[in-house]
Parts: sequence; structure tokens; C-alpha cells
Amino acid sequence: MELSAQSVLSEEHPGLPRPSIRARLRACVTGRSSIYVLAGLPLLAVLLLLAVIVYDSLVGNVGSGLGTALSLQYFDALLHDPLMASAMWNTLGFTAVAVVTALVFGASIAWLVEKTDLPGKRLVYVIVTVGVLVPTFFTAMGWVFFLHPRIGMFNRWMMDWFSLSEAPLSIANVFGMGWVEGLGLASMAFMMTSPIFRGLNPSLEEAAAVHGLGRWLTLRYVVLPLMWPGLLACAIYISVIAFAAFEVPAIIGLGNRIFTFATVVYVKVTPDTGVPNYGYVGAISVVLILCSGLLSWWYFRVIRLSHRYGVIQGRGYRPKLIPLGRKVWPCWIALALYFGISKLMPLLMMVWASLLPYFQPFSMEALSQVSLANFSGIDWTLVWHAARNTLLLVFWVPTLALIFGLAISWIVIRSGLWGRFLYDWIAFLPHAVPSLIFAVAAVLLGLFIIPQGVPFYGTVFILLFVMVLVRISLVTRVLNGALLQINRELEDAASVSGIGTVAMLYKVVLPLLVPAILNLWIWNALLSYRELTVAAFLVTQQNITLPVAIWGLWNGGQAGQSAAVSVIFIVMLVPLVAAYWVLRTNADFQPLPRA
Amino acid sequence: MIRIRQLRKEFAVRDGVFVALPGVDLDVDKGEFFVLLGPSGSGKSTLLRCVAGIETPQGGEIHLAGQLIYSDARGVFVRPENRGLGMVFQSYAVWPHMTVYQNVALPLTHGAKRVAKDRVRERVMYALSLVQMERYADRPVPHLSGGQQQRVALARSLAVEPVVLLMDEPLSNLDARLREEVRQQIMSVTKMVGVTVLYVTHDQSEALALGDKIAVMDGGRVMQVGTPNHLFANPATPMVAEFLGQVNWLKGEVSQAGAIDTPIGRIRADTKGLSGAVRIGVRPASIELYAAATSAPNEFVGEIIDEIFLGEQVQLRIRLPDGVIFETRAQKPFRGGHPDKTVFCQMDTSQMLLFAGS
Repeated sequence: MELSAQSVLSEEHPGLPRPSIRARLRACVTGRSSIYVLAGLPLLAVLLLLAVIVYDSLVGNVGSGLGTALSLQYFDALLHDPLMASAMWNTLGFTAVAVVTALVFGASIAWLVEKTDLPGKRLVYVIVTVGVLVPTFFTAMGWVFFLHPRIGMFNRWMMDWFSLSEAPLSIANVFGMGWVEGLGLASMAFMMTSPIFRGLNPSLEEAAAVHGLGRWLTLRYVVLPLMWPGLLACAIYISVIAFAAFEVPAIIGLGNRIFTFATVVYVKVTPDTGVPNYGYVGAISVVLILCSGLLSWWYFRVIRLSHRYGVIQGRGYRPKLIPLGRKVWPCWIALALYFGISKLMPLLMMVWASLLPYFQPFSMEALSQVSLANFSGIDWTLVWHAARNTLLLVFWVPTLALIFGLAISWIVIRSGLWGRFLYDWIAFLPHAVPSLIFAVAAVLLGLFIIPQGVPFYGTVFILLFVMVLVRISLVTRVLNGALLQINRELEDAASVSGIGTVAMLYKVVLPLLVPAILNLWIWNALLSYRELTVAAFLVTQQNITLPVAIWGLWNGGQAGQSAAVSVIFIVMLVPLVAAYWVLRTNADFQPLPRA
Repeated sequence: MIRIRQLRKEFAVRDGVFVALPGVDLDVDKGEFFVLLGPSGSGKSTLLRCVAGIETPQGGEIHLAGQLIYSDARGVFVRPENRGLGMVFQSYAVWPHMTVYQNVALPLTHGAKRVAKDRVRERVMYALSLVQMERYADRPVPHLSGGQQQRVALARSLAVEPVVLLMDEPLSNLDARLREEVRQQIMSVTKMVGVTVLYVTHDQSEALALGDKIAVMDGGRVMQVGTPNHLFANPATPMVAEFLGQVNWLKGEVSQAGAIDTPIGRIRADTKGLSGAVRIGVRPASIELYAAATSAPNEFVGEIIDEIFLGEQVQLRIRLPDGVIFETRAQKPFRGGHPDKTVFCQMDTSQMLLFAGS
């Protein structure tokens, strides 16, 4: 419309710049329409994948054409499947244990960092945030070596020392899996709860104290009620993640036949024998979407409630810190213990396992068997192939997600476009819907809808496609916030002085967003590097990635080689984490709460 | 240069629609320094932003330099970057990641009105010289003071040789002394370049000092348009009168031609053909104070309530008969703590403002 107006006008009215054909072409590329398209494409893809899943659950197989009668038989089958009943209880138990574990550790560390005079806070902060990046499948494997009822190092020691006939502890149950998941999610709980502690205006506590409430009553009637919505929101957020978590149930649960929803979907998509029952898979997926959607909706309600307590966001005060005094030592020991069991122990277990022909507890005899045989036995062509695919994803996933995310966020925050809230809402869907659902939908899309011969299923593109989509939520949440920080008049000034939308974004908005973009790029690169969930569903021989190679060896019973590849995998992670560390310690502290 | 007809702009608010501009008409001539003056929320900034194209109106038409740039009926909306304008913002809006030079150059290298590469430097330096900022060309803009940043913004908007220069409260973020200085600069530079200016402010002294013409706005409507002198002397409504400067109000009743009965007594003045209830406005400047009675017409006796020393002036509050309180100013302390508080106020009725109704 703008263009036609221009062309009509310039005939009759001299004065304004007269658009040439070249200028009109340029306007097409540099105008807003290209931004709308850039933002619209990934969002349409999100909707398409969800539509594929829902349709699949009603017809049994999206490949069977549009004429197929819809039916609820697959949902009915779910209801009568004993596997689903046990999976439901397992999932609920797993989620509950994970949330409690994550909150106990995460909130305690947050309290220490934000409300006490603990020395070395910055170090704690950086270590905990970097801790998010340690792959969960890696720690899960470490815990198996430590607490497995038969081979676990701890159990063997206990049985030897105390002459027990049975292993005292086991990781191979719902509680153990929840514990491992929770230790990993504690980092996120820390990042979400520290702003709550930081934002608590000490004058509110002081007011209670001055008016005669003791410490306990102040906590009971003032502090907890103020913090409650924030803590609850954090718990819900973490339960959304734990509910659909795949890595821990896959590493620990699959071998021991303890299924959660996520692993049920996996075994149904990749059955040992026969053809996958896609209708059944679709039906479970829809149930998962509904549960996660419900939790996300609850999360938003609670968040809105917590904003009502605007008082805790007050500014212009210095947080009053509780002096720890001599208690600083127990605090440090507790912190060291947390880091020890959640990060260091699994790492040591993996290194140890990678050096042995078969896993055994530490002893002089075991030491004599230490060798690099596992490393030399690795199928290097496969690992090299997987590494190449992984690095490809590490570069392209964050890059594309940022380009799309920038377009979406700019539309949502700035364009004034009718329906921009729809963009925002759809961009949030990949957070509310578990990523494995998108992976399953992409499998259906690749196998049954996209014509054979198009390089999609079984290529690295299908991985790229799904991984970019599932990253859009985080990217747009962070960029929305960053864009709001930029004074709108800076953009208006560019428009009025004749600079088109794309040039304005490129020359004005982008440079101002550089810190946020850099932060997001590295973060998403790291998350893509360790991504197992999506890859596990999509990988074939051709597009294998490193985490899937590790997992494949693990499932094939080659724990030693699996550990060896893991160690290489972690070593390769070091430069990326180092880059992130440097950025995090130099730039102003801006944690990214959503992984 | 700018012709606005029946311009309508609404904003969706939580419970319905807020009409910012119900249908505004306005004409700005070529080379004019045109000021939109009004209190906050009067729609003046919205009007300016509609001309700039960074707000989209819902009705009416805007012509710029003889060319239709917005029309609801004809479905025309020329995007801001194609309107050939320059704009100075209240927040300066200089791009903080660039130097002074880069700020001025960007519209010339990436804008709709690009200039040849070898001419960019010349144009930028000329624009900077207009505001005496050449020697800061290579400074990053966050290192500059507020006044300097606003001068960079002015240079940036002039460098594109705009059809019209738009200014949205450009002085209100500056402190009082700087404001004076930048105001002088805006006046001299725009006159020198001869550009048409549309200028928004809520400060009447700014409007009176800068404007060739002023439009006073209230509630989204243009109340009156005229030269500063004309508006000051002949305001169309009490609101316009009050907005252009302090006024003491009196209620009155025209008892006969040439005589108005007020709570402080009868005032003899030209009643301009009015009858019945009237409102009388007396500006501080048309009140003369005497220590003793002079028996001149329209002299009223009052009592000084307080006398506030402001440095170059003294502000007085005077209680007239029937509890009416007038505020006025004097050049030097009038009583200066002297116990005698009686004062004789003489009103110059030729400058008196008279409105029908109460």
C-alpha cells in the first residue's frame, strides 16, 4: 500500500524523493514486509508441527491422507494401557522429587549469595550458572557408575566394608532419577530465586522488627508471603521442564524398565520390533501438550500475582546482609559438597570408567588395569562424523534462532502491527510444549508429508529445523526484554531521517543489542552442543551427533567406550564454556533464566 | 508547506478508546517557525508524530510540500523514511553506539536522501559547523553533555536538508541556563537555513520567543492560531490567555456600556459590546502599584499579604476588597518589611482581557 501511494503521488507532486524502479525493488527487500516474512516463517512451522501431531492422534497416521475418518480410539487405547498408568505415576513422582531437590539446593545457594556476606559470591554465581551447561545425560551416567545397585562404586564399597548382602542405595528408581534431575535443575532454581531474595526490600523486614515481630514471626507473616508467588512460579517452571525431561529417564530408566511419559514416547516411536504405532504416539503427545500447557498457564497466573507485590521490586536501598561470622565455614563446606556431588563426582566417575575395560570400584587391582584401550577402540570415523554434525549445529542453531528471534521480538515490541501479540504467543509455544513433541512431529512430517527425495528426514536439516524452533522461545523472551530497554525515539529518529526499516535494524538496533545477542548466541550454542532429547528422536546413521553417539554406545552396553567419548565431548566443551565465562565475568551480570 | 485537514487519531486504552485528536485543521507556511503550544495531553506531540509518520492517524489528510502524504479516504500513507523530514526529539535520540560524525552521516549514507560518497564529509561538517560542534566530530556521543547531544541531533536533522524540521520539546531535558543557550542556537540556525519548522512545547516563554506563529492546543483541539503578539493581546478563550502568561481573574457584570461591576468595585473600560456576566483578566504587567492614592480611574486599594524576593523581581500577593487576591510583580522590594501594608493598584484597562460568561 505504501508503495502504490508513493508511485501515484510522485507523478503529480514533485518535492519528495521520487522512487525509481530500483528504489522500489530496494523498498521490497529493505521494507517491513521482509521482516514480517522472516518472523512469520518459524512461527508457521511451529503451528504446522503442532497441527501434524494433533491430526496424527486422530487419524493414526498423517500419511494416510486427508480422507481418513477421525477417531478417539488412540486416546482410548492410552487409557487402557497399564504401561501408561505406571508411566504416569513415575512421571509425577520423578517431577515432584526433582522440583523439591532443585528448590532446596537452588534456593539455599541463592539465599547465601543474596542475603549473607558470604565471600567469593561472584565465583559461586558463575560456577552455578555454568553448571547449567553440564549435560544432564553426562551426570546421569556418572550417577549410575556411583549408585547402581550392582556395579555402583558407592554400593560396592558399602557392601565390602560393612559386609552387606544387598546394595544400600539405588539410583535405578523414581526417587533416584528425580534426585539426579533435581541436582541439574538446581542451577536454574538458583537463577530464578536469587532475584526474589535480592528484590526483597529489607525495610519491610525492619518494619516488622520495629513493630515487635520476632525473627520467626517476621519470616512467617512478612517474608514468606511476599516471596511465595515467586517461589511457586519457580517451582511450576521447573516442573514443566522435569515433567517432559528425557535425558535422565532415558539414561537411568530405560535400561531398568522404569518409564516416564517422555521415554514411553521414545520406545513407541522406536520399537524394537514391528512398525511404530503413530496414532498411539500422537495421542500421548497430545496428552503431554495439554499437561504442559496447563502448567504454563498456571505459571503465568502466578507470575501476574507476584507482580502485584510491586513493593518487593522497590529501588533505592542497599540490601542488608546477614553476617555469617564463623558459620562461613559450614556454608562453604555445604557449597563444596553440592558442587562435589552434582558436578565433580560424575566427572570423576566418567573419567575412571573411560580408563577401565569394565567398570569396577577404585582399588589397586583396578588401577593396574587402567589403559587407554577404550579411546583407541572408538570408531573414530563415526565420532568424527558426529562431531562435524554437532559443530554444524552449534554454529547454525544459535545464528538462525537469533535472526528469526530478532525479527519476531522487533515485531512484538515495536511494530505496532495488528496481531503482534499472536506472534508473541506462538513464539512462546516451544517453551510450553516439550521439545520432544516437536521432534516427534518432525519425524511424522519428514516421513509422511514431505515428499521422498527432498533432503529432510535423516539429514542434518531436520535437526537444525527442530532445534532452531525449540530455541525461539528463550531467544524472543530475552530479546523482548532487551528491546524494551532501548529508547524508542532512537528508532523513530532513524525513520524520520529517511532510513528504512532493515537498515535501521541493522545500523541502530542491532549494535545496541550486541551484549544480549552475544550472550544469547553463546548460550544457545552450548545448549545445542549438548542437545540429546531432540537429536535422539531424529537421528539416523547419516545425521548422528556426539550426544547421540554417546547414548548409542551406552544403550549398546559399551559403557567404557561411551564414557571415553563423553570425556572427549566434555573436553571439547571447555573452550565454549571458557568463552561464556569470560563474557559473564566481564559484562554486566545478566543471567538467562530459561534454558 | 504543511496542510492538515480533519486529522483524527485515537489510541486504544484499557476500557475503550482515547481520542487524542478529534479532527484537527492546521496550515503551516513555507519558511515559518510554527509552534504547537499546549499542556501535556493536549495532543500536540501526537499531531507532530502524525506529521512525522511515526504515528498512523485514523482519519483526515496531511499534505507536505504540496504532496499528499496521508489520507484516510484515499488510503495513502507515506512511510516516515520517505517523507524527507528532519526531527529533533526530547530525549535527543542520538545513537549512543556512534560518534558525533557517524550520527550525522548515517542518514546521508543509508537514508532515503543519500548523497554521493565524496560529498558526505562536507555535508556532515557543514551541519556540525552550524551548531559549532565540528571539533567534537570524532567523540562518542555518550561522552557529550545534554546540550551538546541536542546540538548533534539538530545537526543530524539539518544535514538531510529536510522539507520540514520537526522538533518535539527539544529543550525540556536541559537545565535552565543551557535551555536559553540552545534556544538561541535553534533560532539563529533555523533562520539562517530558512527551513520550515514545526515545534512542540508546553513552555509559553519558549513559544513566544521562538514562534513566528503559535497554535495553542487543548484537549486535542487547536484553540487559536496567531502571531505571539496577537495571541498575547487577543486570546480567544480564557484558557489561551492563561496559557500564554499569568492572569488574575475577576468575575463581573456589565451594568452599562463602559462600566463593569466587580467584587472589588466598578471598573470603567471598553466593554466591547458585551453585556451581562463577564470574566475579566488582568495580567501582572498591566497593574501599577502606588504607595499613595493618585485618584486616577480604576484604582483600587489593597493590602499586601506577602512579598517574595525572587532576585531580579519581587512577587507580591495583594488582597483587594471582598477577599479577591491578585498576584503581580515589582522590580524592587515594594514595602521591604515596612509595617504599612496598604497599596494602591492602578489597572491599565487597554490591556485588560474581557470574555463573555462567567
